[in-house]
Amino acid sequence: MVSTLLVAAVVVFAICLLVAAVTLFLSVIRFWLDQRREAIRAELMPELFVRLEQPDPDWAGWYESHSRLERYVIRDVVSQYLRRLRGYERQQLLSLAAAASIDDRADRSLDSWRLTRRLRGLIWLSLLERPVSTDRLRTTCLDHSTTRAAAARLLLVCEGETAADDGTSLLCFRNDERLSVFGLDTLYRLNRVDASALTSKLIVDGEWWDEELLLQSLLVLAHCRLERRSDLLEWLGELLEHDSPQVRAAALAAFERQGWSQEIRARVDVEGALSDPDPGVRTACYDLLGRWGDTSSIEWLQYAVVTDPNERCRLTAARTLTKAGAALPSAIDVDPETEPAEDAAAAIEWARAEYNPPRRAAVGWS
Amino acid sequence: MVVADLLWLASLFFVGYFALVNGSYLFIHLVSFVVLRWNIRNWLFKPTYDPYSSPFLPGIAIVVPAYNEEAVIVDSVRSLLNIEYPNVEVIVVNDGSKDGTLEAVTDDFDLDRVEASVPFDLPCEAVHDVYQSTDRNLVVIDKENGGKADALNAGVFFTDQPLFCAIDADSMVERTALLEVAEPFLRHPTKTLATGGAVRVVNGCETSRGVITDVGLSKNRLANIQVIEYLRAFLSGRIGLSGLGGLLIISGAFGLFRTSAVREVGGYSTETITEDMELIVRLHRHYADTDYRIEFVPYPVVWTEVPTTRKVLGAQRMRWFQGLLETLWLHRSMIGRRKYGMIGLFALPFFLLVEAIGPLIEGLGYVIVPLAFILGVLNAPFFVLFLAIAIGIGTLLSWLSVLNEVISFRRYRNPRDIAALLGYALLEHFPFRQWKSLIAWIALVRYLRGNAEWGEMVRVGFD
Repeated sequence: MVSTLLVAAVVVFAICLLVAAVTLFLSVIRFWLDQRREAIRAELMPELFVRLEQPDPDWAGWYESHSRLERYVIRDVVSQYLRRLRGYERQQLLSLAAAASIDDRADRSLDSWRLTRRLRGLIWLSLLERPVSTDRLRTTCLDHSTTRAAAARLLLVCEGETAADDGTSLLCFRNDERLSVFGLDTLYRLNRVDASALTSKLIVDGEWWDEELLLQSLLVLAHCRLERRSDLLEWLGELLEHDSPQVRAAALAAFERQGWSQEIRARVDVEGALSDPDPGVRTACYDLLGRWGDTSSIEWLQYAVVTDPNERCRLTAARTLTKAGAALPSAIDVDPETEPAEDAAAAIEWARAEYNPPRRAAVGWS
Repeated sequence: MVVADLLWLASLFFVGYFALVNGSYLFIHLVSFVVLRWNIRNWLFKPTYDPYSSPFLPGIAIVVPAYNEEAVIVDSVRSLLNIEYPNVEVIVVNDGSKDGTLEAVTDDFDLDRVEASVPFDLPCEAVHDVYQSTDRNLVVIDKENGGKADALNAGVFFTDQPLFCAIDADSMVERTALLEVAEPFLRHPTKTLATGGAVRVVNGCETSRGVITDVGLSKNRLANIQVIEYLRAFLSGRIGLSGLGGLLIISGAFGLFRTSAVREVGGYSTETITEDMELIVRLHRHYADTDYRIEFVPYPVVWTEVPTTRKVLGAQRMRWFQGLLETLWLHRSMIGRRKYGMIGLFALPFFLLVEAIGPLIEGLGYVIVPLAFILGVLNAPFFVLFLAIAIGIGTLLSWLSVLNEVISFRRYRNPRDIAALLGYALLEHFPFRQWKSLIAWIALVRYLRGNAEWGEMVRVGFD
């Protein structure tokens, strides 16, 4: 019994000492590596930039002439500057990457069973803008959301003919999986100029999507250029009746940017949106009307300033009018018998008095 | 003989109790290692895109309650206005300061008074004036003194932004922190209610105009012990609890919230001592029947000054302990209830048994077990085992936190700092932990007497 107690205590202390030793050892090693890398970087950078200017820099020879740690630093510098540089200098960096076999290694890493290795490979391929066939990406990257997002990014940067369709399909491969910030950004850039890839998918599958994925897609759609397809507009119009107020607000936001078209405006039931029970939806509607800015929209906004039951919504309507350069309703327009006259007047007064109305980015988020 | 038997049984209980408590912490720490490994994948994407150029990031209001912060407020606001995030509105709430806090901000940033009353009710003490900048997203609300929670409520109910970030006026948010702490809101736009970032100790770090330029340790031992404590309890501990779905505290120094959700639960409570913890528990309670998320995000950091004297630290810890007891008592009906999921079945019981009752029992253990050993009731191997479990495993937890720092976060890079932190980890478990047990007992007495004074945080200022 006594020896068991002692052994238990010794084991605890031994584990403690082991953890401390490992921690200290790792900190020394990592610190030394950091110092060395920084020194090497300072040494190599001027040489690298001189070579970038040369017509024949002999990258292969130069790369091979360095130690393992120096090569690591070179690869690190290449990854950092590939995103920043364009034109001739970027071409030179690509040649250096080829001489260092970075591209081939990245390509081979797609076949690895290790997720992180595949991910690193995809990121390198994106930086190098080296195309990989969609079939291969589908074979190697479908199993995890991070690799699907990275594969979609690769398709985006390589600008293939079917990049938007294939990339969007990869990102929205599972209808119950939300997108990361990286995935959202990629989806936006794939669909920014022409959102037909996303809208086609939404019209066909959107009904079965997880509500959060649907909302994310609508938030992206609000910043993309939509085509005037009647089935799309009909589908978006139906979303204005969705159970979720956030989806209704996001659908309004998707209509907001398309207000230049009378046909699209006609699809929005403004009266219905203005009487929506959720303040967030009404606020989104005021944003939409402010963006459209035609006489009818301004009249709706002026009406909302004095009739909306929510004090914040009234203020949003008043601010939107001010921002659009339109006249605010005067206090006499407020009917003291039927409307919350004092509150409306306060909103009008505040909208007139404030110096810098906040730039809101609220639609779909609240 | 009876006394000896009682001492023996009590010692057995304390050893078992320490094993349970430290075992739970160890489990939470191991979870934190796993969670951190998952997070690394998202970091790999960083070189391939610029997240700040995405047009759909939600607007964030940074609410800064300020009471007598004349010395730091301008630097703090300047650093917040320079934060890397595309849509930020800074709302400074001057909570009836007696010094020149208001004048410092309004003069330095050239703010103008809005010649109108706020057009809706703010559930806080009377608002005197609102000041705005014409060219920056900066607002100052000048109000009667009502305490930190009251000042936060003024900002929360004033802003029009969908998310708000609560920070302390004397804290420094890292420039990239806001996007990182907002990430869960983008990933789960309908479910995420609140996220919290890490709070670290600024004492000993070099700063310039609201930005940390060099991370290091302080010359003050008490501050350095708190560095270890923050790494263990507020970083690794919260990562683990969040990974288990049982996060109960998002520090008042750095939390991001869905504005509408906080308004729906009535804002911060002005009746409780630790309004930050109480708010999170209330959010858990209110949204229990819905699919919601409250998360801790380990990488974004806010740097804050910690007390450097035992007197001030003692007052702070008494307040924290009393706040914990108060919140647990207020929400006692949630404890052990399946309706609240991990919160009711794990997090709240854990906080009750380990965080609230734990230090009290520990305090007794530190007295009774050595006493039993001195009186010859316990043999040496048993006493050594007690030390191994009470102090050894505790130190192990702190050292694992330092290992986490070396592997993942790397804010402290110099091996000398790491070696010093390992040393301070020993001090954290002897005699700091025993001192905290004493403080817990005093706080309990004060709580039972209904005495909940705040104590004053004496700030030395940044180096």
